[in-house]
Amino acid sequence: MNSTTVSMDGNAVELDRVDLVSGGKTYADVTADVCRPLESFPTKTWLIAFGISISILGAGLTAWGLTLWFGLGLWGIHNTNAWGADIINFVFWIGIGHAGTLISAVLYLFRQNWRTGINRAAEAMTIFAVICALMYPLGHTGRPWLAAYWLLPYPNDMGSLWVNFRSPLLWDVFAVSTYFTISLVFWYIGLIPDLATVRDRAIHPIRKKVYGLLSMGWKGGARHWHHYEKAYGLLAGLSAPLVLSVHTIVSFDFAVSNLPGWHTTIFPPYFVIGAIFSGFAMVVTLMVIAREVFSLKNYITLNHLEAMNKITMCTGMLVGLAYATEFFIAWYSGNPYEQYVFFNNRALGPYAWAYWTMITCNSIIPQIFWFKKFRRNVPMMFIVSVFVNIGMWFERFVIIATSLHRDFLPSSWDYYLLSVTDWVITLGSFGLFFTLFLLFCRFLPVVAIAEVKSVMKTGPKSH
Amino acid sequence: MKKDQIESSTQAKRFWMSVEESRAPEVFEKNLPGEFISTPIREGEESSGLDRRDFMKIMGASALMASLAGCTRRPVQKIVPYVNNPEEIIPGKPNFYASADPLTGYGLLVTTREGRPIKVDGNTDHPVNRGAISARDQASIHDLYDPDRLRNPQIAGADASWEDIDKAAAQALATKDGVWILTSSILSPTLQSVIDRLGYRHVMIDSLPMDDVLEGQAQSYGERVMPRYRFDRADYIVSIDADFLDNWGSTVEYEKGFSEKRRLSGNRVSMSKLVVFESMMRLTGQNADRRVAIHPADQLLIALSIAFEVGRIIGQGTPGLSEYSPANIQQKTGVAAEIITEVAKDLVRYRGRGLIVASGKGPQAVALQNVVNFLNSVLDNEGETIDGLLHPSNQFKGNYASFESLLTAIRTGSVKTLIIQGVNPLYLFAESMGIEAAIKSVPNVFYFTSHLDETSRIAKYVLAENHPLESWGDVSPIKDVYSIVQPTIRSLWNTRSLLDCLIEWSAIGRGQKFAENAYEAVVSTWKGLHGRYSSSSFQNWWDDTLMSGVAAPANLNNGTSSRRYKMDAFRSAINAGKSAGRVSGDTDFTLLLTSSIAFGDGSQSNNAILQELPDPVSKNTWGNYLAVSESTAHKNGWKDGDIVKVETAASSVEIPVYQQPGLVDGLVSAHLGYGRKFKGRIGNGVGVSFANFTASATSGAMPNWLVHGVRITKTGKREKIPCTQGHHRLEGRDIVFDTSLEEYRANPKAGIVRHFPNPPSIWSEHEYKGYKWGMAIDLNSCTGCSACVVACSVENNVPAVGKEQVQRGREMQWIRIDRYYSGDAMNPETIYQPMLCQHCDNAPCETVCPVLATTHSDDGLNQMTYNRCVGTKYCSNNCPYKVRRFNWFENNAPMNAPMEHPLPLMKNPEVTLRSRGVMEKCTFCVQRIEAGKSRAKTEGRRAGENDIRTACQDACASDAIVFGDLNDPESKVAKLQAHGRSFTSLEELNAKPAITYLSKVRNRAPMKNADHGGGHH
Repeated sequence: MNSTTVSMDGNAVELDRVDLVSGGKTYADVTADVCRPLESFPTKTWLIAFGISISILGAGLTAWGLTLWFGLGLWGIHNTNAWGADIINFVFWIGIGHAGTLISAVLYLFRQNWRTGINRAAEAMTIFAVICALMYPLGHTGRPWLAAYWLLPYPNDMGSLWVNFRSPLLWDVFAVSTYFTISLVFWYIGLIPDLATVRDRAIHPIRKKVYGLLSMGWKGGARHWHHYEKAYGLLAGLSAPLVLSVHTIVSFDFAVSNLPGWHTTIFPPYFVIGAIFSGFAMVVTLMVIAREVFSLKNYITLNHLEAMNKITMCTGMLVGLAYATEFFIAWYSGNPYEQYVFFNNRALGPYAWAYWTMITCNSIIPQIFWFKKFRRNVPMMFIVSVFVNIGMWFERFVIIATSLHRDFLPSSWDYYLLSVTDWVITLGSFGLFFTLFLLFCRFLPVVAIAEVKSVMKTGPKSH
Repeated sequence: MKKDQIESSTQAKRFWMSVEESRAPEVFEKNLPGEFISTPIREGEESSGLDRRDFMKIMGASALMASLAGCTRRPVQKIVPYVNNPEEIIPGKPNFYASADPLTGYGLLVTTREGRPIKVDGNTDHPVNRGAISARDQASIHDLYDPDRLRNPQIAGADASWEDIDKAAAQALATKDGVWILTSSILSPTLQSVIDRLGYRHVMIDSLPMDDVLEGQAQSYGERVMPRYRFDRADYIVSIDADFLDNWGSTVEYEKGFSEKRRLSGNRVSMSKLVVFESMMRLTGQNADRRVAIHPADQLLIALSIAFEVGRIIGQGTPGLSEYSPANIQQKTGVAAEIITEVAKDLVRYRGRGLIVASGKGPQAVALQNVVNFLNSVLDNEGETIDGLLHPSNQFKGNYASFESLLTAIRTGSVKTLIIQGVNPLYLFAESMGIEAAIKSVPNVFYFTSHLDETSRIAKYVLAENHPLESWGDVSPIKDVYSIVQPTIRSLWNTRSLLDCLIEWSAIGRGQKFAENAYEAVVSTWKGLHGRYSSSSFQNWWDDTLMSGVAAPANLNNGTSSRRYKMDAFRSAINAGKSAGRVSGDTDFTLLLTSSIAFGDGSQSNNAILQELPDPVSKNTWGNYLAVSESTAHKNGWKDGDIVKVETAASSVEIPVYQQPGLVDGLVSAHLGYGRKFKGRIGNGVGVSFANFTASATSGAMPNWLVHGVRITKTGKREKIPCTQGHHRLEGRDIVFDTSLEEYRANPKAGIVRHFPNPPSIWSEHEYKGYKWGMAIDLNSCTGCSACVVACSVENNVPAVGKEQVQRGREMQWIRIDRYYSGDAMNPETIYQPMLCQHCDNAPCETVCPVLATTHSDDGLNQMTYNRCVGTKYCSNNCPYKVRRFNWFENNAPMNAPMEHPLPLMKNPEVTLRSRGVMEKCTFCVQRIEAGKSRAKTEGRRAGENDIRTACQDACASDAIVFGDLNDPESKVAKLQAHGRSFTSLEELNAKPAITYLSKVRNRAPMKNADHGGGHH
């Protein structure tokens, strides 16, 4: 791939013959390669990975069960830090979920054809990340059995009993549920042609039935394609603003409060950029694994990964800018509480270790991608992407734990650490994520077959 | 039904519906049902007799009932209404009974609901405690319902009946020779007269001894008496380790008087001055205008030095005193000479209006009292601020010397029967005293106790004791003041009081009891008192006194007296001073044992609410700790929570270290009352007992609280101290304000920093058309005693959550006393700020709740709707005052098991028990507001100040908390909020709290560089 293909107006430029898919694949090869993991007995690697993931998920679910039975007291949160790992993980996973929408919708709208190799997996990642995230807003409430429907403005016969539209938590309910619904529909619509391909290749009658149902009678006719393209474009258009809105509204959970460290107007862009940053890093992590495990190196090429790494570095620097801006404004505002939060508390206080972990992972380590050698080095980018996600987890930790633990009245200052239950639940959400992702790899085409074919140049190099 | 109507109509035959009917009614009728009126009701009814709908109904109902019967097994519970409705009890309405506390003699007002007491407050008509009681008394209601209470008397470890006990007593008490009775101080004239009439040898000891004061009074004035200290008259107070605001003497009475002298309400600009020489930082020192940190071994030297200076100023030298000149003393003790000089000067200046109190530690304790008595006499304070003659106190009568004679008698074998009540010797004394062997050697030990405890394990007869709220009795806290102790509930268990038993046993050898029962005994005592207090009939007077709770002379708090000081006492004190002071070159530590306001002697250690009450000074809960100075900790490499081994030659304990400002180096201190081995499930094993350190060669039987030669070594173990306030400095934040009296006189707003007065609001303001509830809290009055915290918890069913949860920062108390230090890090000044829900007009919590569980009421309350709360906890995060409390677990039914009997009885039925997952917080006692409002409404008037008082306000001995209607400009609270000292905390956030604080004024010179932080203007 060269710069022409990734330019913003890719359509207008004469595409040269540097392929988005390498290895001289034919259309048949694409179908065969992508469908192979679905149609063969799971590999040993897959079985081991799935076993580990589902065990971790099981542990996580046990911890959730205990929490439901005994109460939130099993967590590390307390009177001073009433939010902790729950909301850290919620924001973390919602952030991860951003890359999917960005890659599928925004890059689609900008006609970035290189996205075709990774968009399916990225979208799946979004769905799974949002599922992971959704456990927390509900599960972190004291009485989830009531919160499950009391947070919705459903008609009731209790007079004026209604939700509070002034509360950012309510906005959150709408934002996240909208995002989840749109992402799911968008992903599913994108899957339909490929599901039909899998259906057509299926031999076993049950398999035929299931994929037949899922592909909703897709025949691949011109009419179908016409409707498909329309629907896909519309949903992409609907999703694109969500990339901005969801994390903006998630950031309102903090920005609308009066707590120093939360109460900042920079939060919406800061959160969105952070989300894209972590989301792209997570995509890199997953793609590196997927292309190894499922032999998709020809579809998810180094070119793809390099492009991802560029975005990671860029957003990482934007996040760094946000960190610096927070400090500047804290100083410039002259507000002693603000100054205390950033200077005395975050950078130099009891949580300095968390703060500097965050800075190191998010702002320093990605700088390595200035060098092309490292951008195209698979082990290196894997390590960096993992660090970025550690850093982004710590970013949420810093925002939530350090702002709360020392607020206005020094009398109520305390210290927050995750309890064992917190850790198990946190790991459990990774277990859920990877379990879902591995199931996805087994049962659905990881690469968008139809879309990849559309950007492939088969046949002789000249017209 | 329709059929019936039709039938009746065909029978009547008056009208016909159609031509067919009129012609051939039989045919018509036969066809009728099927013709047009075919309804589901009709179909098939002829054939079955049960129509389809009824069938469906019955089937549905029987299925439902069958499944209900299968699923829920309903326990058989009988609800029996009052057969004869008691006259006073109206279900849903509280009754109030006046009573009194047998230990302190304070007048009580007991709230009962449907026949069960649920709250104890001070009796406002009582002239001694004047409406206030201590945190421990507030919590005593929970002792009544303690499930661990002993429910039956026991003989040799097995449950027995009182008849068995009485039989045993009949044998043991057949002759009065060899019968001894050991009790705590007895304030009851009836009980005292019964004991006297029985002729048993009677020994009284106080677990928190005041023997030094009593002995000193005896030596100085000839009579062993506990004087009544009149802090309400003192303009200048010097205290040498007398912790009169914390746990020394009649603290509630003192606090009441002390705070009155310091109240700067209205235009008043004068207040008393308090100078404290203090070893362990306690409440008294924290409330001092000047606190001087001393070593407890130097107490006598400092007192003598003051005496020297006072003598010098008034030109009245005493031989031998010159070596205690301030300069010499400065050298020996490190207390600056100018402090002594200044104190002496002020004492002379406030002659007759000053008061010097001291609590001696160690062998010179009595000498110290003699010096203090000398000073008070020389300065004419005796008789003015110290009353040892007119109405001296009855609260402390203990005498460890007489206890020693009991021990001697036991060892010589002359004690055959020992009755013990109110004292737990095996816990109180060091093992090395041999108390256990001594008591075991007594053939018959009758031990009264509420719990199976350390002593009950070796007593042959364990007598399950009544709670004071279950017994008849009387008390006299000070001379000429009497109260009746009346039961407010029948004994919950098979228990008796000491008076019950002694009356029962008085027949032994006499054939006739002194009185029919305890009640009759009290009545007969009071018949003797009647003539002195009333000219009306006895019955009228008795009824009136039962109702008002106290009999006292009208001019009780007036009048002065004077006693002659015996100079011999002073001379001996001067001699004693020669051996006073620290042992030079001593590299070991000195351990000072103290007792805390929350915990006292540990007899209420099974009371979770007290265990969880933060120590007012350290804010630590659930167990004691070793207080050390910061530099001592630093030098030895100790951190808070490091467990150290504290040892003397005789004993050792392991205890966590806690750095306490205000201690001199080389001094360590710990609270007594902890480390119970046998008390109950809550109290056992909390903290460590220092009893074994209290044996001393010089103090006789009296527990010695000042231990020298203590070695302390780090064990390497650590424990998180369950502390409710881990940070003690204001960090330059403008949250509370203080100033000096001088500055206050010049400007009532002195010290108050307002960064952004009256900020604009983006909200439309609330309108308060009726009432607008608000509160004013005077930081100058608040002593930090924490009675309000307990009162709030009892009133509002606030649960204690246990040590582990406090360690995790999850205490539930709705009101807390924030304590901040300022100034000198080694000996700081302290300011207390009671912090509770501020009921903000622009409440940050209200806007963020997604389900509207917390809302604003029309009268300015920030309400919490528990039923609606789903527990997002966002309100707590957004509360700048962090006063919201979340139910992390099912606190009222731990581990989802039902509450143990009889705990449900102690709950206030007016206040919902909160389930897990729900946020809660201070409601301004909304149940009291509503009761007050409806009372006022039925009387057709507006609710006033006396209709509604919050529980914290009721409990506050220093009247720092005032609640009321801000819409009434004449209300006390409105006036206080308009006062110059009034400010709101975190005003710049514009939350507009309904609570304002009044700044603290210190009676000292202004600080040169005001310690106002921030520095960002």
